[in-house]
Amino acid sequence: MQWIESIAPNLAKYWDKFTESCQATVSMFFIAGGITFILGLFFGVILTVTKQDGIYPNRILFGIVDIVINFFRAIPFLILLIFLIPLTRALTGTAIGVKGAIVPLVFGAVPFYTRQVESALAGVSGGKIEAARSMGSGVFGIVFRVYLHEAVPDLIRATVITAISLIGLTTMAGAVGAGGIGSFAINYGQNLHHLDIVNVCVIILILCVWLLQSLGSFLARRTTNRKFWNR
Amino acid sequence: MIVIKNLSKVYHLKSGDVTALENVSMTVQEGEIFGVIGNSGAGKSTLVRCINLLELPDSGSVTVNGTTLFQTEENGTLEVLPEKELNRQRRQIGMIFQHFNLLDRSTVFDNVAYPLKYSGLTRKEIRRRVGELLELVDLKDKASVYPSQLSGGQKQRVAIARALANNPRVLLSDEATSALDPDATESILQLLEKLNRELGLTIVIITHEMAVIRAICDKVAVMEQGHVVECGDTYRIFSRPRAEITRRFVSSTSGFSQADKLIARRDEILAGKENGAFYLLLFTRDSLSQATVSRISREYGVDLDILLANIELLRGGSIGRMLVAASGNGESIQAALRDLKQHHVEVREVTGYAVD
Repeated sequence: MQWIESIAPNLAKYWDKFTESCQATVSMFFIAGGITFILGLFFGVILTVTKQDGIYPNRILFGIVDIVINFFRAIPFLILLIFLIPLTRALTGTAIGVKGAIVPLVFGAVPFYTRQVESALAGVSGGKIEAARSMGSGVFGIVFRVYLHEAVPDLIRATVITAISLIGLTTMAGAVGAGGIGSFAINYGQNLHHLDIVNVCVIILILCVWLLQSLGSFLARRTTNRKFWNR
Repeated sequence: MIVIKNLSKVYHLKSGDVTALENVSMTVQEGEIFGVIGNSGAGKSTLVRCINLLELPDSGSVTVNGTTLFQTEENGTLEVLPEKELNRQRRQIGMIFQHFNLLDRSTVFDNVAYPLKYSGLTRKEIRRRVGELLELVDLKDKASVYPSQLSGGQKQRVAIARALANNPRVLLSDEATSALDPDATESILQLLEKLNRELGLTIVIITHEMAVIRAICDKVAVMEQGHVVECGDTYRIFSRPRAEITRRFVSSTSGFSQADKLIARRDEILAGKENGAFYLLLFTRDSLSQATVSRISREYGVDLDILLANIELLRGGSIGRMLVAASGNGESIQAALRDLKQHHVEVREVTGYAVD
């Protein structure tokens, strides 16, 4: 604690506020991230399977998902935050705090992640799909045993890119009252002229991004042309 | 046995309609190695993909091992087996591809085990079956290796083992040797022949290389622009090709297309020779290995200058071709030619400036 006081005196002064903000960012990241991961994979698979030359073409379903995703991708996140306030209130009862941030974060990240998943799955060669069909695999067999299985390294890269951009989104959500490191840096750093607080926040975010990127790169490398665990 | 009747397929592309297959019919007998040859775009890949319904044709019918996978009803609609039943039938039809299409993130073992998941075998039984299959394709020590660590020929062997996992009666091979070097091609063809001989496997081979047909096929269908232009016994096709495209395919592998170059220099080669003329001789299995040329030369006092000759070994026997410049007494030459014909050698005088 003394060490922190000597390099960042103002941070030490607001230490409780600081740990609280970190916790808020972590919960926003993991809750919104978890939901985004599941929904993005789901919609990415839906797009891949139902597209015109997919394994189960369905023009209507593809069209709906495609349009909705394009719609939400087109809206800048800050405007999305405001735009979604009524929906957020209806779903979670509040539009502020961590709870209020989850809905806009999910709406901001899912379309982005869905496109990333779609492009990762498009990297699985048509030949592998054809081989699976020739061996009698149905739609589910092809999705789980070929598409999701073969695309793992690309899916990991897509997940890391989305996770990093999600960190960015959580700080923006902070700006409109969701708490977290973003709002801490603005309210206690910038607005009170405590430059040390801003600097520490920047360093923490850089570390998080670097950690995510390194972990992602390692996992992607470990899963290219092989399983993660090798007997 | 595979019975294909009146198969038609048109691709509706933005640039216009492309007819891939038009009224194609053929029958592949049980235990046969059946080749389909054609240039790219001839429709041969579409044909083989219609056999296991990777592609849906517009009309026609295909029956494999007595099960009709689809057929055109009298009212013109295409009646296809329901999805579940179709997938069950597909497991009885193995298929291998030009680019192997193995799962890169699965070991050789897991690749071969892939189709066994649908067979209801226990883990122990699966392990035993994969072991058998890897032994069959000579890759027993590679079970825990990944495809990226294998050569092209080895990858194709894994693909063959995978295709045979559920004991299919039929194997479809779509350009399976086209991406391989000559040695690997040779070993894959030998493996296919062994499987045909030992397991009685019916094999349909799609290729654009006549050498593949020559090496192992019993029968061959030649395709051009969505039609089968010629179909028959491989030996017959090689010895007496009828369609123009078949002739081109045959001469492309026999090396006899070089004859044109010699024929173009005919006047120069025949200069100063008494009654000199060019003849093409075709030796079939009835006339080979009788020392015919040296006997004729001796008995009739005719000089036969062999300009170009080759013998091809087919599954059904050998075929010899020879371009000779004959010279000597005119009557002796005629008598010699008659003798050749009596011994089933096909003789044709070359009068123009090309083989055909």
